[in-house]
Amino acid sequence: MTDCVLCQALTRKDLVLYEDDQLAAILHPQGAQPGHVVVLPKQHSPILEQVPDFVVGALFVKANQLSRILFENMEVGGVNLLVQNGVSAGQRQSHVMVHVLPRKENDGLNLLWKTRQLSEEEFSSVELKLKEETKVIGQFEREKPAPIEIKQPEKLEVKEGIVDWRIKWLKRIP
Amino acid sequence: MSEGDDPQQQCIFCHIIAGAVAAKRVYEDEKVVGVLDINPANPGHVLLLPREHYAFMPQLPEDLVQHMGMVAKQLSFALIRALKVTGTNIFVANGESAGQRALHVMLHIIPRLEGDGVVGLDIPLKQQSSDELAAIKKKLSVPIKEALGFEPVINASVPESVQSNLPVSKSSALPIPNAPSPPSSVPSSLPFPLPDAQKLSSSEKSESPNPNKVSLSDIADFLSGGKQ
Repeated sequence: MTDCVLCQALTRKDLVLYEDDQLAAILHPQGAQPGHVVVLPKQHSPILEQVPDFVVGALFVKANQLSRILFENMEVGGVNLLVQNGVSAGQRQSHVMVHVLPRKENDGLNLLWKTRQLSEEEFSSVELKLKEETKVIGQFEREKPAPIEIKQPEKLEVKEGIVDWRIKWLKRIP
Repeated sequence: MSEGDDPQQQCIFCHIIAGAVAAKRVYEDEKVVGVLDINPANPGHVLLLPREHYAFMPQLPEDLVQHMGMVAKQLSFALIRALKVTGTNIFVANGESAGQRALHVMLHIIPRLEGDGVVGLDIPLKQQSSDELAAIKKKLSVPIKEALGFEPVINASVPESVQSNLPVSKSSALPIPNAPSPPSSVPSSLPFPLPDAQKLSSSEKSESPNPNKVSLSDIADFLSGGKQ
Protein backbone atom coordinates (compact mmCIF):
# COMPACT_ATOMS: atom_id res chain seq x y z
CA MET A 1 0.00 0.00 0.00
CA THR A 2 1.99 2.94 -1.28
CA ASP A 3 0.04 5.72 0.46
CA CYS A 4 0.75 4.37 3.94
CA VAL A 5 3.31 6.60 5.57
CA LEU A 6 4.45 3.81 7.84
CA CYS A 7 5.12 1.49 4.93
CA GLN A 8 7.20 4.27 3.42
CA ALA A 9 8.92 4.93 6.74
CA LEU A 10 10.19 1.36 6.73
CA THR A 11 12.29 2.20 3.72
CA ARG A 12 14.11 4.91 5.68
CA LYS A 13 17.12 3.32 7.24
CA ASP A 14 17.81 6.15 9.68
CA LEU A 15 14.70 5.31 11.73
CA VAL A 16 14.93 1.55 11.52
CA LEU A 17 16.41 -0.22 14.54
CA TYR A 18 15.75 -3.76 13.40
CA GLU A 19 14.26 -5.53 10.43
CA ASP A 20 13.81 -8.99 9.03
CA ASP A 21 11.49 -10.61 6.48
CA GLN A 22 8.34 -10.22 8.52
CA LEU A 23 8.66 -7.15 10.69
CA ALA A 24 10.63 -4.05 11.52
CA ALA A 25 11.24 -1.94 14.62
CA ILE A 26 11.55 1.83 14.33
CA LEU A 27 12.13 4.69 16.73
CA HIS A 28 8.93 6.69 17.08
CA PRO A 29 9.76 10.21 15.85
CA GLN A 30 7.21 11.77 18.21
CA GLY A 31 7.55 9.32 21.03
CA ALA A 32 6.30 10.04 24.50
CA GLN A 33 9.68 9.14 25.96
CA PRO A 34 13.19 8.84 24.60
CA GLY A 35 13.52 5.27 23.42
CA HIS A 36 9.89 4.86 22.39
CA VAL A 37 10.05 2.06 19.82
CA VAL A 38 7.36 0.79 17.52
CA VAL A 39 7.38 -2.77 16.11
CA LEU A 40 5.32 -3.31 13.00
CA PRO A 41 4.74 -6.01 10.39
CA LYS A 42 6.22 -5.26 6.98
CA GLN A 43 3.12 -6.56 5.25
CA HIS A 44 0.57 -3.76 5.44
CA SER A 45 -2.37 -4.67 7.67
CA PRO A 46 -4.77 -2.14 9.15
CA ILE A 47 -6.00 -4.31 12.02
CA LEU A 48 -4.48 -7.02 14.17
CA GLU A 49 -6.89 -9.67 12.94
CA GLN A 50 -5.51 -9.41 9.43
CA VAL A 51 -1.94 -10.10 10.52
CA PRO A 52 -1.10 -13.84 10.33
CA ASP A 53 -0.80 -15.53 13.73
CA PHE A 54 2.85 -16.38 13.40
CA VAL A 55 3.69 -12.75 12.56
CA VAL A 56 1.82 -11.53 15.65
CA GLY A 57 3.83 -14.01 17.71
CA ALA A 58 7.03 -12.71 16.16
CA LEU A 59 5.97 -9.09 16.84
CA PHE A 60 5.57 -9.83 20.52
CA VAL A 61 8.84 -11.76 20.70
CA LYS A 62 10.69 -8.83 19.11
CA ALA A 63 8.91 -6.30 21.34
CA ASN A 64 9.94 -8.37 24.35
CA GLN A 65 13.56 -8.55 23.21
CA LEU A 66 13.61 -4.81 22.58
CA SER A 67 12.13 -4.11 26.00
CA ARG A 68 14.91 -6.22 27.52
CA ILE A 69 17.46 -4.15 25.58
CA LEU A 70 15.82 -0.94 26.81
CA PHE A 71 15.93 -2.17 30.39
CA GLU A 72 19.61 -2.98 30.14
CA ASN A 73 20.84 0.04 28.23
CA MET A 74 18.68 2.99 29.16
CA GLU A 75 17.55 4.39 32.47
CA VAL A 76 14.11 2.92 32.63
CA GLY A 77 12.00 1.96 35.58
CA GLY A 78 9.56 0.01 33.47
CA VAL A 79 8.43 -0.75 29.93
CA ASN A 80 4.90 -0.81 28.56
CA LEU A 81 3.74 -2.78 25.55
CA LEU A 82 0.58 -1.44 23.93
CA VAL A 83 -1.43 -2.45 20.90
CA GLN A 84 -4.25 -0.16 19.82
CA ASN A 85 -6.58 -2.17 17.65
CA GLY A 86 -9.38 -0.04 16.22
CA VAL A 87 -10.25 3.64 16.34
CA SER A 88 -12.12 3.25 19.63
CA ALA A 89 -8.96 1.79 21.14
CA GLY A 90 -6.93 4.81 20.10
CA GLN A 91 -5.57 3.58 16.77
CA ARG A 92 -4.69 6.63 14.70
CA GLN A 93 -3.02 5.10 11.66
CA SER A 94 -4.04 2.13 9.60
CA HIS A 95 -0.99 -0.02 10.13
CA VAL A 96 -0.72 -2.44 13.03
CA MET A 97 1.88 -1.37 15.59
CA VAL A 98 3.14 -2.64 18.92
CA HIS A 99 4.37 0.26 21.04
CA VAL A 100 7.34 -0.44 23.30
CA LEU A 101 7.35 2.49 25.69
CA PRO A 102 10.05 2.97 28.34
CA ARG A 103 8.84 4.47 31.60
CA LYS A 104 10.36 6.20 34.58
CA GLU A 105 8.93 7.06 37.94
CA ASN A 106 7.07 10.39 37.84
CA ASP A 107 7.46 10.74 34.10
CA GLY A 108 4.07 12.38 33.85
CA LEU A 109 2.48 9.56 31.91
CA ASN A 110 -0.49 7.58 33.05
CA LEU A 111 -1.65 4.76 30.86
CA LEU A 112 -3.74 3.09 33.54
CA TRP A 113 -7.49 3.06 33.43
CA LYS A 114 -10.14 3.60 36.05
CA THR A 115 -11.53 0.29 37.21
CA ARG A 116 -15.22 -0.46 37.18
CA GLN A 117 -17.39 -2.58 39.38
CA LEU A 118 -19.63 -5.04 37.63
CA SER A 119 -22.44 -7.09 39.05
CA GLU A 120 -22.27 -10.87 39.24
CA GLU A 121 -24.86 -11.17 36.44
CA GLU A 122 -22.84 -8.96 34.14
CA PHE A 123 -19.73 -11.01 34.81
CA SER A 124 -21.52 -14.30 34.23
CA SER A 125 -23.11 -13.14 31.01
CA VAL A 126 -19.78 -11.90 29.66
CA GLU A 127 -18.10 -15.14 30.72
CA LEU A 128 -20.69 -17.26 28.88
CA LYS A 129 -20.54 -15.20 25.71
CA LEU A 130 -16.75 -15.27 25.66
CA LYS A 131 -16.47 -18.99 26.36
CA GLU A 132 -18.57 -19.68 23.28
CA GLU A 133 -16.18 -17.74 21.11
CA THR A 134 -12.94 -18.93 22.69
CA LYS A 135 -13.75 -22.56 21.86
CA VAL A 136 -12.33 -22.03 18.39
CA ILE A 137 -9.00 -20.74 19.65
CA GLY A 138 -6.22 -23.26 19.28
CA GLN A 139 -5.39 -23.61 15.60
CA PHE A 140 -2.65 -21.13 14.93
CA GLU A 141 -1.53 -20.10 11.50
CA ARG A 142 2.09 -21.13 11.08
CA GLU A 143 4.68 -19.96 8.64
CA LYS A 144 4.52 -22.03 5.48
CA PRO A 145 7.78 -23.95 5.02
CA ALA A 146 9.81 -23.16 1.92
CA PRO A 147 8.91 -25.39 -1.04
CA ILE A 148 11.04 -28.49 -1.34
CA GLU A 149 13.18 -28.53 -4.43
CA ILE A 150 12.71 -31.67 -6.44
CA LYS A 151 15.91 -32.89 -7.95
CA GLN A 152 15.65 -33.67 -11.62
CA PRO A 153 16.71 -37.25 -12.36
CA GLU A 154 20.19 -37.40 -13.79
CA LYS A 155 20.38 -37.73 -17.51
CA LEU A 156 22.14 -40.79 -18.65
CA GLU A 157 25.34 -39.75 -20.35
CA VAL A 158 26.21 -41.48 -23.50
CA LYS A 159 29.98 -41.62 -23.75
CA GLU A 160 31.40 -40.55 -27.03
CA GLY A 161 32.72 -43.27 -29.21
CA ILE A 162 30.77 -45.97 -27.51
CA VAL A 163 27.75 -46.85 -29.46
CA ASP A 164 24.74 -47.94 -27.56
CA TRP A 165 23.03 -50.25 -29.97
CA ARG A 166 19.69 -49.82 -28.23
CA ILE A 167 19.70 -46.07 -28.88
CA LYS A 168 20.88 -46.58 -32.44
CA TRP A 169 18.10 -49.04 -33.01
CA LEU A 170 15.53 -46.56 -31.67
CA LYS A 171 16.84 -43.76 -33.86
CA ARG A 172 16.76 -45.80 -37.03
CA ILE A 173 14.71 -44.52 -39.88
CA PRO A 174 12.24 -47.17 -40.87
CA MET B 1 9.62 -23.79 56.28
CA SER B 2 10.43 -21.90 53.14
CA GLU B 3 7.35 -19.68 53.18
CA GLY B 4 9.05 -16.47 52.23
CA ASP B 5 11.24 -18.06 49.54
CA ASP B 6 8.75 -19.44 47.06
CA PRO B 7 7.17 -16.60 45.06
CA GLN B 8 4.47 -18.95 43.84
CA GLN B 9 3.25 -19.46 47.39
CA GLN B 10 2.52 -15.77 47.69
CA CYS B 11 1.29 -15.16 44.17
CA ILE B 12 -2.46 -14.89 44.00
CA PHE B 13 -2.44 -15.49 40.27
CA CYS B 14 -0.66 -18.80 40.71
CA HIS B 15 -3.45 -19.72 43.14
CA ILE B 16 -6.03 -18.64 40.59
CA ILE B 17 -4.36 -20.77 37.91
CA ALA B 18 -4.24 -23.74 40.26
CA GLY B 19 -7.92 -23.33 40.98
CA ALA B 20 -7.46 -22.54 44.66
CA VAL B 21 -8.96 -19.07 44.22
CA ALA B 22 -12.17 -18.63 42.26
CA ALA B 23 -12.02 -16.79 38.96
CA LYS B 24 -14.02 -16.69 35.74
CA ARG B 25 -11.90 -18.61 33.21
CA VAL B 26 -12.60 -17.85 29.59
CA TYR B 27 -9.72 -19.67 27.93
CA GLU B 28 -7.06 -22.18 28.87
CA ASP B 29 -4.52 -24.43 27.25
CA GLU B 30 -1.35 -26.15 28.41
CA LYS B 31 0.67 -22.94 28.53
CA VAL B 32 -1.66 -20.06 29.39
CA VAL B 33 -4.91 -19.26 31.15
CA GLY B 34 -7.26 -16.37 30.41
CA VAL B 35 -9.47 -15.06 33.21
CA LEU B 36 -11.81 -12.12 33.56
CA ASP B 37 -10.37 -9.25 35.57
CA ILE B 38 -12.46 -8.59 38.69
CA ASN B 39 -11.67 -4.88 38.42
CA PRO B 40 -12.10 -4.36 34.71
CA ALA B 41 -11.70 -1.29 32.56
CA ASN B 42 -14.66 -2.56 30.54
CA PRO B 43 -16.84 -5.68 30.71
CA GLY B 44 -14.86 -8.47 29.09
CA HIS B 45 -11.44 -7.30 30.27
CA VAL B 46 -9.34 -10.46 30.08
CA LEU B 47 -6.04 -11.20 31.80
CA LEU B 48 -3.88 -13.68 29.91
CA LEU B 49 -1.50 -15.40 32.32
CA PRO B 50 1.25 -17.96 31.73
CA ARG B 51 0.79 -21.08 33.86
CA GLU B 52 4.39 -20.93 34.98
CA HIS B 53 5.26 -18.16 37.37
CA TYR B 54 7.34 -15.32 35.92
CA ALA B 55 7.54 -11.86 37.44
CA PHE B 56 8.44 -9.85 34.34
CA MET B 57 7.84 -10.40 30.66
CA PRO B 58 11.54 -10.14 29.68
CA GLN B 59 12.07 -13.31 31.71
CA LEU B 60 9.68 -15.35 29.55
CA PRO B 61 11.15 -17.87 27.11
CA GLU B 62 10.62 -16.95 23.46
CA ASP B 63 8.25 -19.76 22.58
CA LEU B 64 5.97 -18.75 25.45
CA VAL B 65 5.94 -15.10 24.35
CA GLN B 66 5.11 -16.20 20.82
CA HIS B 67 2.30 -18.41 22.09
CA MET B 68 0.90 -15.62 24.27
CA GLY B 69 1.01 -13.20 21.34
CA MET B 70 -0.91 -15.59 19.10
CA VAL B 71 -3.48 -16.37 21.81
CA ALA B 72 -3.85 -12.64 22.57
CA LYS B 73 -4.63 -11.93 18.93
CA GLN B 74 -7.25 -14.68 18.80
CA LEU B 75 -8.72 -13.65 22.16
CA SER B 76 -8.99 -10.09 20.91
CA PHE B 77 -10.93 -11.34 17.90
CA ALA B 78 -13.11 -13.52 20.16
CA LEU B 79 -13.91 -10.45 22.30
CA ILE B 80 -14.96 -8.50 19.25
CA ARG B 81 -17.23 -11.31 18.04
CA ALA B 82 -18.70 -12.10 21.45
CA LEU B 83 -19.29 -8.62 22.80
CA LYS B 84 -19.72 -6.73 19.52
CA VAL B 85 -17.12 -4.16 20.49
CA THR B 86 -15.33 -2.00 17.98
CA GLY B 87 -11.77 -2.23 19.23
CA THR B 88 -9.40 -3.87 21.65
CA ASN B 89 -6.26 -2.88 23.49
CA ILE B 90 -3.50 -5.29 24.39
CA PHE B 91 -1.43 -3.89 27.25
CA VAL B 92 1.51 -5.18 29.25
CA ALA B 93 3.09 -3.44 32.23
CA ASN B 94 6.64 -4.45 33.15
CA GLY B 95 7.93 -2.72 36.24
CA GLU B 96 6.28 -0.56 38.86
CA SER B 97 6.83 2.67 36.92
CA ALA B 98 4.95 1.10 34.04
CA GLY B 99 1.98 0.31 36.23
CA GLN B 100 2.70 -3.30 37.12
CA ARG B 101 0.75 -4.12 40.25
CA ALA B 102 1.18 -7.88 40.53
CA LEU B 103 4.32 -9.95 40.28
CA HIS B 104 2.97 -12.35 37.70
CA VAL B 105 3.26 -11.63 33.99
CA MET B 106 -0.06 -10.78 32.42
CA LEU B 107 -1.35 -9.46 29.14
CA HIS B 108 -4.41 -7.26 29.46
CA ILE B 109 -6.87 -7.60 26.60
CA ILE B 110 -9.40 -4.83 26.93
CA PRO B 111 -12.50 -4.45 24.75
CA ARG B 112 -13.22 -0.88 23.67
CA LEU B 113 -16.15 1.05 22.34
CA GLU B 114 -16.25 4.58 21.00
CA GLY B 115 -17.05 6.90 23.89
CA ASP B 116 -16.75 4.21 26.55
CA GLY B 117 -15.09 6.62 28.92
CA VAL B 118 -11.93 4.59 29.36
CA VAL B 119 -9.16 7.06 30.06
CA GLY B 120 -5.60 5.91 29.61
CA LEU B 121 -4.32 3.35 27.11
CA ASP B 122 -3.29 6.18 24.88
CA ILE B 123 0.19 7.53 24.45
CA PRO B 124 0.54 11.33 24.33
CA LEU B 125 3.02 12.33 21.68
CA LYS B 126 5.88 14.76 22.10
CA GLN B 127 8.15 16.37 19.57
CA GLN B 128 11.58 14.75 19.49
CA SER B 129 14.50 16.34 17.73
CA SER B 130 16.32 14.33 15.11
CA ASP B 131 19.55 14.70 17.11
CA GLU B 132 17.97 13.10 20.16
CA LEU B 133 16.65 10.27 18.03
CA ALA B 134 20.02 9.76 16.38
CA ALA B 135 21.70 9.69 19.80
CA ILE B 136 19.31 7.06 21.13
CA LYS B 137 19.71 4.99 18.00
CA LYS B 138 23.47 5.13 18.34
CA LYS B 139 23.18 4.04 21.97
CA LEU B 140 20.98 1.09 21.14
CA SER B 141 22.74 -0.05 17.98
CA VAL B 142 25.47 -2.10 19.69
CA PRO B 143 23.10 -3.97 22.06
CA ILE B 144 20.72 -4.60 19.15
CA LYS B 145 23.54 -5.97 17.06
CA GLU B 146 24.62 -8.27 19.90
CA ALA B 147 21.19 -9.43 20.90
CA LEU B 148 19.33 -9.50 17.60
CA GLY B 149 22.11 -9.84 15.06
CA PHE B 150 21.05 -6.75 13.09
CA GLU B 151 23.16 -3.66 12.60
CA PRO B 152 21.10 -0.45 12.43
CA VAL B 153 22.37 2.16 9.98
CA ILE B 154 23.73 5.19 11.79
CA ASN B 155 23.39 8.58 10.14
CA ALA B 156 24.85 11.77 11.48
CA SER B 157 21.67 13.80 10.97
CA VAL B 158 18.29 13.40 9.42
CA PRO B 159 17.38 15.80 6.61
CA GLU B 160 13.97 17.37 7.16
CA SER B 161 11.94 18.23 4.11
CA VAL B 162 8.84 20.40 3.99
CA GLN B 163 6.22 19.45 6.54
CA SER B 164 3.13 18.01 5.00
CA ASN B 165 -0.30 18.02 6.52
CA LEU B 166 -1.70 14.55 6.47
CA PRO B 167 -5.10 14.77 8.11
CA VAL B 168 -6.34 11.66 9.78
CA SER B 169 -9.99 11.91 10.60
CA LYS B 170 -11.03 10.19 13.80
CA SER B 171 -14.56 9.59 12.62
CA SER B 172 -15.65 6.00 12.62
CA ALA B 173 -17.82 6.00 9.55
CA LEU B 174 -17.01 2.46 8.47
CA PRO B 175 -19.37 -0.47 8.97
CA ILE B 176 -19.33 -2.83 11.93
CA PRO B 177 -20.47 -6.43 11.45
CA ASN B 178 -23.99 -6.16 12.88
CA ALA B 179 -25.10 -3.05 11.07
CA PRO B 180 -26.89 -3.50 7.74
CA SER B 181 -24.12 -3.26 5.21
CA PRO B 182 -23.99 0.22 3.76
CA PRO B 183 -22.13 0.70 0.49
CA SER B 184 -18.49 1.13 1.25
CA SER B 185 -15.14 0.51 -0.36
CA VAL B 186 -14.02 -1.26 2.81
CA PRO B 187 -14.83 -4.99 2.82
CA SER B 188 -17.59 -5.75 5.30
CA SER B 189 -15.51 -8.53 6.81
CA LEU B 190 -13.62 -5.92 8.86
CA PRO B 191 -15.02 -6.18 12.37
CA PHE B 192 -14.65 -2.56 13.39
CA PRO B 193 -13.99 0.89 12.00
CA LEU B 194 -10.64 1.89 10.56
CA PRO B 195 -9.12 5.30 10.94
CA ASP B 196 -9.82 7.34 7.82
CA ALA B 197 -6.44 6.64 6.29
CA GLN B 198 -8.09 6.15 2.89
CA LYS B 199 -8.56 9.92 2.76
CA LEU B 200 -4.83 10.47 2.92
CA SER B 201 -4.27 10.02 -0.78
CA SER B 202 -6.71 12.86 -1.55
CA SER B 203 -5.96 16.41 -2.63
CA GLU B 204 -5.12 17.67 0.86
CA LYS B 205 -1.63 16.19 0.69
CA SER B 206 0.92 18.90 0.09
CA GLU B 207 4.24 18.66 -1.70
CA SER B 208 5.78 15.20 -1.49
CA PRO B 209 6.26 14.25 -5.12
CA ASN B 210 8.65 11.42 -4.39
CA PRO B 211 6.88 8.70 -2.35
CA ASN B 212 10.24 7.39 -1.21
CA LYS B 213 11.32 10.72 0.23
CA VAL B 214 9.26 10.77 3.38
CA SER B 215 10.59 13.10 6.03
CA LEU B 216 10.70 12.61 9.76
CA SER B 217 8.09 15.30 10.18
CA ASP B 218 5.73 13.59 7.73
CA ILE B 219 5.94 10.44 9.75
CA ALA B 220 5.64 12.37 13.01
CA ASP B 221 2.54 14.17 11.78
CA PHE B 222 1.01 10.99 10.57
CA LEU B 223 1.74 9.05 13.73
CA SER B 224 0.32 11.84 15.85
CA GLY B 225 -2.93 11.86 13.93
CA GLY B 226 -2.47 15.27 12.31
CA LYS B 227 -1.56 18.58 13.92
CA GLN B 228 -2.05 18.63 17.67
